[in-house]
Amino acid sequence: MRRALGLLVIIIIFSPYALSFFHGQGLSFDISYNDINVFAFTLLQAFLSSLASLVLGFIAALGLIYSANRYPVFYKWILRPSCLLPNVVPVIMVILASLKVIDPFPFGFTGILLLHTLMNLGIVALSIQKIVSNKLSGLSEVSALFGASRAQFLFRGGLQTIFGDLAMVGLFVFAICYSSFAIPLVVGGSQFTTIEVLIFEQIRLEGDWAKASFLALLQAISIFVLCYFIPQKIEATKESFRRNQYLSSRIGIPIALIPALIIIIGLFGSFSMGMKQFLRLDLLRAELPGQILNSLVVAIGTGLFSFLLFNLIAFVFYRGTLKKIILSYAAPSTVICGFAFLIFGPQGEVSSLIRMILGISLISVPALIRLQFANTIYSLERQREVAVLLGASDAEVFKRIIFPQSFFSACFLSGIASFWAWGDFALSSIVADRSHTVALVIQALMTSYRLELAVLLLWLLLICGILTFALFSGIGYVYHKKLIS
Amino acid sequence: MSTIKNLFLKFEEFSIDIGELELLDQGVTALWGASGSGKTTVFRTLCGLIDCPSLEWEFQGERLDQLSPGERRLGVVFQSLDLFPHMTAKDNIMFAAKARSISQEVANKDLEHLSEVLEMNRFLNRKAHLLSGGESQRVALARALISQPRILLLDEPFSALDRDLRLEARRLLNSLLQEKPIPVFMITHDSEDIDELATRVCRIEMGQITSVNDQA
Repeated sequence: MRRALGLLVIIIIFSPYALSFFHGQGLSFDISYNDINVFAFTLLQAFLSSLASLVLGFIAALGLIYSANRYPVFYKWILRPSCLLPNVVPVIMVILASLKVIDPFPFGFTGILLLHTLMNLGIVALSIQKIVSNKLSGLSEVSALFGASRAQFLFRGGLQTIFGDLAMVGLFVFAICYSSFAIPLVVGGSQFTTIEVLIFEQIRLEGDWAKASFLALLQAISIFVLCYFIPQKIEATKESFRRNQYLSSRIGIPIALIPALIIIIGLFGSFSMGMKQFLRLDLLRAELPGQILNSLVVAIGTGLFSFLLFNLIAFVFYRGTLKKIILSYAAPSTVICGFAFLIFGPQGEVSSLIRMILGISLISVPALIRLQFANTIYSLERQREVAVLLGASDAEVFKRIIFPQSFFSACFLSGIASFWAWGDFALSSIVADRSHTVALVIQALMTSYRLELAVLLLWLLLICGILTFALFSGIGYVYHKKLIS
Repeated sequence: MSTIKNLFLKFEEFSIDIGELELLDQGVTALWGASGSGKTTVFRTLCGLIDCPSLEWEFQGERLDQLSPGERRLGVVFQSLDLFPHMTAKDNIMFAAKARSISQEVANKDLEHLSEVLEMNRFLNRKAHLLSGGESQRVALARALISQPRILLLDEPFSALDRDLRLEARRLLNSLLQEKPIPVFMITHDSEDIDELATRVCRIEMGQITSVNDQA
């Protein structure tokens, strides 16, 4: 049964590629000089984005450690959530807030690097904090007792000790930036095209599915190979960190806070001007309830479908190649995913909503697995082993061991997926009309530089997104409380 | 007699090389060795958690190595005990009975008996994550035994306990084995475990069995 479901998981996650492959009737290997340039540029921006995130994230991690030691309340309620904020809110929020706050915004290569770094800095800092606390605390204290300075410790052995772990974190960011679509589309400009944008242009402008499929496959395989052959280090989540007085720095605190501050300042600025514009636009006001309803359907649907996928994956995630495939699979190309679903099935409003649900879920779930869910399932692996040794069937192990204990995590992450669904415009713009959902309206306003009005609608999106997130994670929390009491 | 043959495993910097090892039908066969000697690898291989194509394990005429981990019908207690934290002590024990399709009536009777011998009555309905080390240890033992295993496998079963609890746990295990004389394979580095429990001691060093002694 586990094998059959494993096959189902593989079919589901690779379905966008299979659909586009069959629609294009194969692959076209016709690569031009310009395409190679785009590949090189994509690699460069992904590398530099991950490098910048790693360097700044490392300094921010020292700030997190400092704050956790000295100001635990500030750390727990302000700094840690601030680090997670840019990764948890929809991308559109980060883009729009940055466009509002950073004026003039450096469009093009610098803009892409800047936004990628702002988006990933926090999550990188949290990951590095965990690595440094768990692996370098003891060593750094011994070095300090020997009289070594912090720089001596870090550059003569500390960084080498955690190099593999840092490479994994860097790879995580690299994979996100390498296949990023929304950010290059909005801030890249015409000069700086990434592979995703190139795939988009191949299909939308030239209708060349075979070449687009080839590019998407090349992109997916390159990430997959990189992830597959670099050792995966997933560990059961440890909640408590060792206190470390030596490897900490207050300079890291403002760096850790910057991305969240940009988002918050961007959201709070020019609220009244946005409201005035909104009151003047009767058509927008009239259409908004329908758009909210559509967005709500997509968000709830994405949450539910993601929940289903998380549980399917939890069922099959146990040793062997399949586990490695799931961990190595970054996310399908947004563009391929959108177009693949667009060409299949009937057209119409309901179909568009279903396509959005399927597409956003397929894009969100791999990222959320890498972000958290793999750790959750991994922490249950030992219990699964014991249950198997006791003679329990796969179904029994899942029903009585895995499902109850991963329920909260699956609900919480499905809540995040539903939040992302509220803000998705990248995939939605491919499979639906420009005014189908709130996020699409915001994108349209953003591209016509009506930023105040876009920010106002962003507030609506934020509130609705938080409500659906609260719904999913609330269900998970209640169940979890019941389970442990 | 249960015979283990050709347990050969090769890792990057370590190998297990056991040509033949005989486990007693009654009493405790102990695999004794220092940390890093390969005890846990042998244990996990016998459980079926590490693939070992060369392994032949015959138990009373049946080839256990050809069965899946669940089908081997082993009672296992790991060093970390690994109770299911979201279940009560009783649910943990009954999980094993249900997994082995033991009838409710027999399982209830066995549970009653085990609770008495292992003195578990006062915490049977407590969630596993609220149990003390000694209590968890007893529940893990009961869970392994209620499934009517062919053989009981113990991986450093007392190492997480303090000295007084270890003494108590050994006493309980001894009294339990008097009641249910099933073969036990225990891996340990603790010489007190050997002195108080072992009937046969197999010493393992660098992945090889260097001596086998039957205790008086």
